[in-house]
Amino acid sequence: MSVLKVEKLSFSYGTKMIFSDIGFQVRQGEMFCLAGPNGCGKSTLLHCISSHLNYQSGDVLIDGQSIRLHPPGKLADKLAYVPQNHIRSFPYQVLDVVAMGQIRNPSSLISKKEKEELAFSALEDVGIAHLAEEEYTTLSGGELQLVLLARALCQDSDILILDEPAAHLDIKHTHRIMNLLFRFSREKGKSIVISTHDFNHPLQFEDMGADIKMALMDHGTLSAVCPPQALLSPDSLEQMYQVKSRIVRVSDEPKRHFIATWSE
Amino acid sequence: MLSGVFLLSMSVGRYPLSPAEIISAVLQRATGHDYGVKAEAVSIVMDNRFIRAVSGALVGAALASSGCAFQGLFRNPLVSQGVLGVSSGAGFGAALSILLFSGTAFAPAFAFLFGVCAVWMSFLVARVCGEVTVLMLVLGGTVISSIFSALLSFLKYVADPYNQLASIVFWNMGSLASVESSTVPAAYASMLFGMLLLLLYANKINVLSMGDREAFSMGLDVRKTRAMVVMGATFSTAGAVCIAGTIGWVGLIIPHMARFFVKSDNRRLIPFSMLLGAVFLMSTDILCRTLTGAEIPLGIMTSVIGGPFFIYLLKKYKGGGWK
Repeated sequence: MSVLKVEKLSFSYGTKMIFSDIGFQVRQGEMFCLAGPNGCGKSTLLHCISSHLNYQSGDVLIDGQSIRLHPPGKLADKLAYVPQNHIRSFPYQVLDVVAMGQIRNPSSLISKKEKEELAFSALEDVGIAHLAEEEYTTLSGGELQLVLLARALCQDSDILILDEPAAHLDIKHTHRIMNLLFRFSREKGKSIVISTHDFNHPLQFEDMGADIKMALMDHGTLSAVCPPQALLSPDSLEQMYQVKSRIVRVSDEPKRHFIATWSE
Repeated sequence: MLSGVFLLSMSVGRYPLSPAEIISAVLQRATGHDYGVKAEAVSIVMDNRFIRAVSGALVGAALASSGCAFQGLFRNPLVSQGVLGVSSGAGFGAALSILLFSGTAFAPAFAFLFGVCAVWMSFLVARVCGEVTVLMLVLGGTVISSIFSALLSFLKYVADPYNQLASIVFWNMGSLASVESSTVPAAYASMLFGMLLLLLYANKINVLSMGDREAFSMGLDVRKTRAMVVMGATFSTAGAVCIAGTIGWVGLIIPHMARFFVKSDNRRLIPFSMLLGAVFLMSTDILCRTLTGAEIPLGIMTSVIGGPFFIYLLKKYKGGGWK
């Protein structure tokens, strides 16, 4: 099982600095939630961690070894990435899309049938086995996100990187995805890194008893890394977003809710 | 169906032959035993029509499968193998050899060389800004294509209008009428090699069509895979161009027609497109030589039939299921 470590990472597009000197660590079975204003560099950071972009300094280590030293197949053994926006091109079958998670393993090692069985059980894990035969271009946005999550599961890596996995989803699909992520970290020991704009996500994970840390990103720097309850306060959020907000409990229920109200 | 069209292709023409005669002729040549077929008929079947039919089948298969590969690679159902400049490069190469040597003897070799060269140059242009992305490749291909098209126009402008110009124009319209047996082995080898590569990479083309980053995160060596797919498609196209000239539309419409039968999975799409491309090109070639007294150039026929048929399919399948 793998440990992800980000050390003094800096990235810039040409002369435009996106972030600098960022560091954190995610242990096995742990969740890490990244939040911050639009354009603060969350997606870029996740791309760097997934080795999609070449960072200028610092390093990303998996089990002590730089991701730059991992060939693509080896990296995919350890880390799977779920994109924020997937552009659908051709109407492939859902099962085939999910089975792509196994592309790095040659068919001499694992047969096409075994790959499809893995893909099917990943679809069962996310609860959409009934869509296996559908063309994935006809699915709704929520169903597509579940397919991409299944594909990442089928990849069978220790670390899952998800860029705003609930960005365009309705509450039903959002809850489903979040519950699945919680289960994957707890039952399968996956390390999960997600970015989000909704502070209810880290709060609810924490209230469910997840092993979660979070960090706020702004102007290319990262806040302290700590549990959501220590980090999220109306004051810190007002400083970052210039918006008034509250974290409340409804009557005697133990769960916390984040509310921001529109006001001048 | 393939063998039916193949037999038909062998039988029609100025000297009509029945399927039985063709089979006898083939046997006669192969075994040396006399099956009662005239020597001239054996010669027509074996030296002319057999090569023509095989060439038609291979060219169709090569163009159709490389079209599939490029559509998958560029995640765009509206591209064909011309997108990286192989066709315009080959057209220019052929024209250049016609000007230099006053004849078409070296046209196939030059077409092949410049076709491959154009794709390689597109890659170089795409690399100007560092990382090669699909968008940069399309841009590179567009730039190189237009340069070669301009150069081709220039060659036409300076060519001797009575002799060379006609040759250049005819060559660029594509035809199976003058397949030269000296170029056949090399061209066949190039097409077969290219198609084999595409068949081997079919599943990886599926993954590439998810986008470079996602494909990389699934553990695919994107750069290497893309280079291999481009190489496969380029060799099959260049081989086809060098025996048949530039033939449009096959690489674009055949993959679309094939998708209506076997869906989009390249593991099934590429082999099926090969079959369909072979049947389509041989049938079109039959029409070319039977419709009128003089042969109609194949490239004209594929576009004349292909264009309206493509519009019909688009309408019938509402864009083919893509958004």
